[in-house]
Amino acid sequence: MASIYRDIRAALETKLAAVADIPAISYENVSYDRVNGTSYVEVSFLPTLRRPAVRGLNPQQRYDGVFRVVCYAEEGKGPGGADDIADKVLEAFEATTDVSYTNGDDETFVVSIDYAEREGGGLDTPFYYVPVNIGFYIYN
Amino acid sequence: MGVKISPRLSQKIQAIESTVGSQIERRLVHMAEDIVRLSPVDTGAFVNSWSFKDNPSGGRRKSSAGKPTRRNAASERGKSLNNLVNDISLALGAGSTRGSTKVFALQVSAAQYYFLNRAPHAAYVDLKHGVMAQIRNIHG
Repeated sequence: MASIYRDIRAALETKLAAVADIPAISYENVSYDRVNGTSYVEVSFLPTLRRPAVRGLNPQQRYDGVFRVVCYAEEGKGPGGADDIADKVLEAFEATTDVSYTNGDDETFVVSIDYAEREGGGLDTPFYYVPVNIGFYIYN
Repeated sequence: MGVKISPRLSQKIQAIESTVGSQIERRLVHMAEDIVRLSPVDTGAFVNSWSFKDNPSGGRRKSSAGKPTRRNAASERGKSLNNLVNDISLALGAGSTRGSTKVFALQVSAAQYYFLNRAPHAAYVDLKHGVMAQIRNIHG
């Protein structure tokens, strides 16, 4: 059974891109030149576990992982800018909700959000950042 | 007022404590394996700065400044895992300042233990690699 990581990533990134007023998105392994003073978010897809959901032959797999969205805003302007972006991400990926995605082969995947939580902010000069970790799972 | 416990019951309690203790130790070692596996290796300073302690102060602190890069990842991770397993054995075993092995199962549930990384660049590495986010996702 082929893995479905590509589809999970697509589901989560498509959902993020559709969030209203989200700033520019820096995707993994895609060149992004950040501009001083311009907010953006950086995403990482971090699969953690792939385990059989049941015993027996050809079991369904449970995939777990973290979709990490680091929200960057201009340094020295207070935490509000990054906090606002983080709030939008948290609202879009609320725990116990589902993210549905249909790929080019007309297969639909429903990724469940286990939790969405933010960490404390920090400095990555010339930006201030707030990471948001979205735990997800899907059976396939 | 006291309660007299029969020797037989006492033996059973000791056996349970021993079983619970080894389960906890196994779980902590499993966590240490994941921490080491998920830690990126360049100079080896970050992965070798992990400690397991019963208080959040002190611990290993390696700087990457001036160190050769592209070190052998498996070797550096092996050294780090060895350190963490020793820390866990000391914290939970006979070498613990908190008491003998006989009662450590109770102590683990009551006390706070920490996996710490005190590398000067730890926050930056975690920002870029989300190590702690993945560990929390796997181990809760």
